[in-house]
Amino acid sequence: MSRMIVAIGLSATTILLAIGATQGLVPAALAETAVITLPALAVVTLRPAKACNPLKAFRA
Amino acid sequence: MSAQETARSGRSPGFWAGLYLAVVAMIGALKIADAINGPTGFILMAASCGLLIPMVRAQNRGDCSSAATLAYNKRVIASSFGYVLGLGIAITVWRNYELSAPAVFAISLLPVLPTFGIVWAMARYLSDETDEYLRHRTTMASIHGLGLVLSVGILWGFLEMFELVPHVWAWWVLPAWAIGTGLSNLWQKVRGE
Repeated sequence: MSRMIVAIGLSATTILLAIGATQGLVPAALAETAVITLPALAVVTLRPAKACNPLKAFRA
Repeated sequence: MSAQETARSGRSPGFWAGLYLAVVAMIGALKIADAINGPTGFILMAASCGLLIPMVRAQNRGDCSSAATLAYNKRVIASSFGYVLGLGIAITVWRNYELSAPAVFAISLLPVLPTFGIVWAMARYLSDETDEYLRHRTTMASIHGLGLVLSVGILWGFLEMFELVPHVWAWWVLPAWAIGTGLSNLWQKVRGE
């Protein structure tokens, strides 16, 4: 769960950095570095759910 | 997990994710400080993507992941490599050569096509997954992600039209969708759905 929260935060930060780069507020190299990490973040945020304990899941 | 269990099963996914982010941060710092040039930075970035492989393997450890999830992970990792390589080549070529419009269009597709691969992997997962519960959760997460994209997109579009906010490159939709999907996964996990 903590990895997911970090990945969501970093994805949002990347979008903000890109906006900053278009406005000249952020160095382009920093925005490029952030943009290139997006698929790595997507590996975490788009990861399908697992059902390690289906009984627990269905009990809810 | 005890130290003995960790030693038996290898490093945790968090370790590999942290290591990847630390390496990327170092490469970014070197680029900003002009200690390395752009192409070198992109090559190092592409190499650092190799750390995603042990991260995904660590995620898949145990018997919780379905066969569809394992196939999905392979496709997304392959697409991620393609994206990093494509973006690196596209930016390097665009900066160093005077290109015609068709050539710029062609190099623009280099990071785009692997991104289509990520979208295709998600669609393929939904058709491959035989567990109805997992498919339902992923479908709901995708719909919530789409809802976030549509809501933020329409809000930002009108704010931009009235010159309240700056222009944003349209590729923001994919990370925004991923954010919405991740938030939905978290929400469903917390609620035990």
